[in-house]
Amino acid sequence: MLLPEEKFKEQWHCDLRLLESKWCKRLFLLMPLLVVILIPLMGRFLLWFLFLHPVESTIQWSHLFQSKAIVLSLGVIVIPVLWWCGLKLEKTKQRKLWAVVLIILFVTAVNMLFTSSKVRWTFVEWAKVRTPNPSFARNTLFWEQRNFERRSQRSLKPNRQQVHLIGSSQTFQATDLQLLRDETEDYYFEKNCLAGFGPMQYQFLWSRISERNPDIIVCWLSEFDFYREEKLPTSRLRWGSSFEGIITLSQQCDTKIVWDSREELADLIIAASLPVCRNRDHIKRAMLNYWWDRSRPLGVETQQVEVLAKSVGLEDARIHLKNNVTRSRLLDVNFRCFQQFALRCKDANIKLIVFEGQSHPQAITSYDANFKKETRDRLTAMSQLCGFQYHAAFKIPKFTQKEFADAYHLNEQGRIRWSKFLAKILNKQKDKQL
Amino acid sequence: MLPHRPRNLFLLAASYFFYGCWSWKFLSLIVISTLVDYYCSHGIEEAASEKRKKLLLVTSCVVNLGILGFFKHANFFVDSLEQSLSFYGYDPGSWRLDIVLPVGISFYTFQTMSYTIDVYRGQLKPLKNVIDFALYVAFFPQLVAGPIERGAHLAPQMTRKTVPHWDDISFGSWLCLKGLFKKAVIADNMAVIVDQVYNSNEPVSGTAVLLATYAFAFQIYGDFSGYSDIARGTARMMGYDLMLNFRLPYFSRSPSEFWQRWHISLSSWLRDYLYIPLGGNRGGEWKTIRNLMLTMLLGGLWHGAAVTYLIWGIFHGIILATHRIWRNFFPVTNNKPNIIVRLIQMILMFHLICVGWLFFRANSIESLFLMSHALLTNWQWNKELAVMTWQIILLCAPLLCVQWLQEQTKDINLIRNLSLAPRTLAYTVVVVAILTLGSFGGREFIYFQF
Repeated sequence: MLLPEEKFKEQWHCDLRLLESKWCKRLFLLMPLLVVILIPLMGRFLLWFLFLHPVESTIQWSHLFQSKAIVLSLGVIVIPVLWWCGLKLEKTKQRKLWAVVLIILFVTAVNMLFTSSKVRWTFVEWAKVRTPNPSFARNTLFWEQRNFERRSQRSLKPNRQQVHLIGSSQTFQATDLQLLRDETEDYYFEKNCLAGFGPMQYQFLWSRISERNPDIIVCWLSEFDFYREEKLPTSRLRWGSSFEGIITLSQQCDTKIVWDSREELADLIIAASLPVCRNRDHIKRAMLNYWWDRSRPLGVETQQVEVLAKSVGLEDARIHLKNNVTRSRLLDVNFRCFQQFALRCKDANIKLIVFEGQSHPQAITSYDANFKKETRDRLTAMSQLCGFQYHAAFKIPKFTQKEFADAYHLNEQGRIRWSKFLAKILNKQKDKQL
Repeated sequence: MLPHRPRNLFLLAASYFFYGCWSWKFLSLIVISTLVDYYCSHGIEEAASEKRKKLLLVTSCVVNLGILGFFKHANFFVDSLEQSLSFYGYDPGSWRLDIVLPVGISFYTFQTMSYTIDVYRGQLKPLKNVIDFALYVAFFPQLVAGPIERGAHLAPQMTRKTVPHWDDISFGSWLCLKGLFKKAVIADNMAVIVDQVYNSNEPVSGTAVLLATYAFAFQIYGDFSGYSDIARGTARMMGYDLMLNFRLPYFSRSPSEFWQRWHISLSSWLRDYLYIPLGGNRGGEWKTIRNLMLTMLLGGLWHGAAVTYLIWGIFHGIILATHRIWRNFFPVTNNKPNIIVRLIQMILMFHLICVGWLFFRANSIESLFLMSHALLTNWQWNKELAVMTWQIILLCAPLLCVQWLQEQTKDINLIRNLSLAPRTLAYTVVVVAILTLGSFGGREFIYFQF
């Protein structure tokens, strides 16, 4: 019984080259047939394959022979050609270094392509239909989509201030954009929210936030946001990783925390270097769930995301809060990061308005009551230092149990009340300016 | 770059530091095992009488097996004893000891024992320098999860000046990359499916059990062979050659062939130091079967002190014995059957191996029973199972295709030997897969627990 082994001998290399030449020739001969079969198949099924668009029920010649399908089908001829070229180049000797150089070039080319807007748009559309809903990856794809929409938008009305609501799923589900537009004048509203958006992300994603040119940023932050995280949340930072963000984040951390977080920082550095790595979560989720969400209605890819995070029952939330809302090792890092963000807003003439966040009255009893007061005191002091508006709990409506859909998020009733209150604050803002 | 002696000292210090980062206390066990086998092997070499040689050999085996037995199996036997006493109405209280299993203990104790046994058999001269021997025992690439090296293969490399060439660095890098691919892309992604089913508190369907078992087959292969590749690659980059531990095991066509392809370092160790000394296949059919069963039982026990590992070992003993009996009644007439027959044999053998993995992975006897029952009675199909199937196909099918080509050409090194274009394509796919599909959530290697 002959078992496989690691072969190194020159004679085997020669035998293998002969075998490869034989198969390369066979592939060459097969190419015309392959192209003829591929053209109509690609024409009919390409969009379905990429974007899960439904296939047309009737066959039309114009669909079967689309230019993209023809080009892609002809492109497969490149395979045996490249193979033959490689065989010729290595006729006498294997050129190991060339393979390494080619890989570096290829990976670099892929990463550079990933920075081009057309490729980004295609990727966002491809991944959006496949990422689970709700999921963090899906949320970031809609954030990207808004960037594309913004670039293609016509100019806004003059004198219209842009109000960006930035934060977590609490912020997202607490505000009704239509109501805000109805209750205010001359404001353009936009939600830029991601599930689990924490203080660290405000600073880390500064470039992503500022590129959308807000005039006013509204945040909803509570002790729940600051008193957590024992490790850097790489899964929530990776997608927006940049060297600038990493440097600033490291500057907010003590040396020991930087050393202990070396694995996470390495992950973020790789993500900052390679766009493909920045989107690894999207790629992975989309690849591993490529086909199987036929329960989605047609055109789901054009729908705004309905919710950012799964609904959490009160009991589960209480356990989660008890275990996770603690005096964590990254507590001070969170405060320093948000302060950094606030200072940047000040430097960029962006008005920052921060409201004290609220959770379900029965949920907040799961952790130390002092956390709330400490957060309030620290943010109050920070607001004086950094020049932002801070509205603590006693200045804003207190939500009752009836106004919560679950442990963290407001229901319709709560959303209406909060949106009206926010509109009132913004209108006062406008009046002061006038 | 350093001369031989300082280099060995540096590598030994690095190996001890590597192990000590996990636990400085348990480093003492490696040192004890090293010193005992060093002095025993020298004593055996210099001993005048056979009796003294045997005494020293027994000392080495007792010390190594004693350390292994205590840390690995003490609580298993204590629990078994407690259960037996409880069965007879006696309440022994809790005698369970608070024992931490030292990482790599199963590997380095077997490695040092094999060295001493080889010296006893006259197959090997003991290493003169204690540093060289200590490095042989504690060499960090293979210290934690093998391969379990043989004295004749690794020990001489510790006495030579090894200078890595460009080929060594290139091959070593490829092995590390390949290992990382198998671990991060295949094993850790399959682990998600496996854990979802095997750790579920809810009843699971037969389909889910089947899919999770397939996933586990690839998880354990990717995990263990990936580690072996990384170990070999790291050693190779320093100019050392470690033995091949896997030869495309899922292309085996018989149980005996499987054990020539899977965890070769352990299976050959068991063959040379247990099966053959017990008599091998020289004492008639029943003795051969007895020896096979004992060897596989102890092979199961080596993996851990749990009934499921024992069952797994016994299962492999049974299929080896059955195959042997079958071959006696139906001897092989055609050594090169056609490809269809070979394919069928491979598929059947793969499924037989998967039955064994079901025993291996089950969390307990109860869960093993429930899953086996589900496999026989409860078949369903739904969206989640379709997603699982897709994930297994997406990640494992390309690996199997490449390995099929390696099997056809009998060349495990096929990708490195191919011409520029397919070689570049393969490397690129591996790199991109690691960057995009790799799971870096900190899952430990499975064999670290052994």
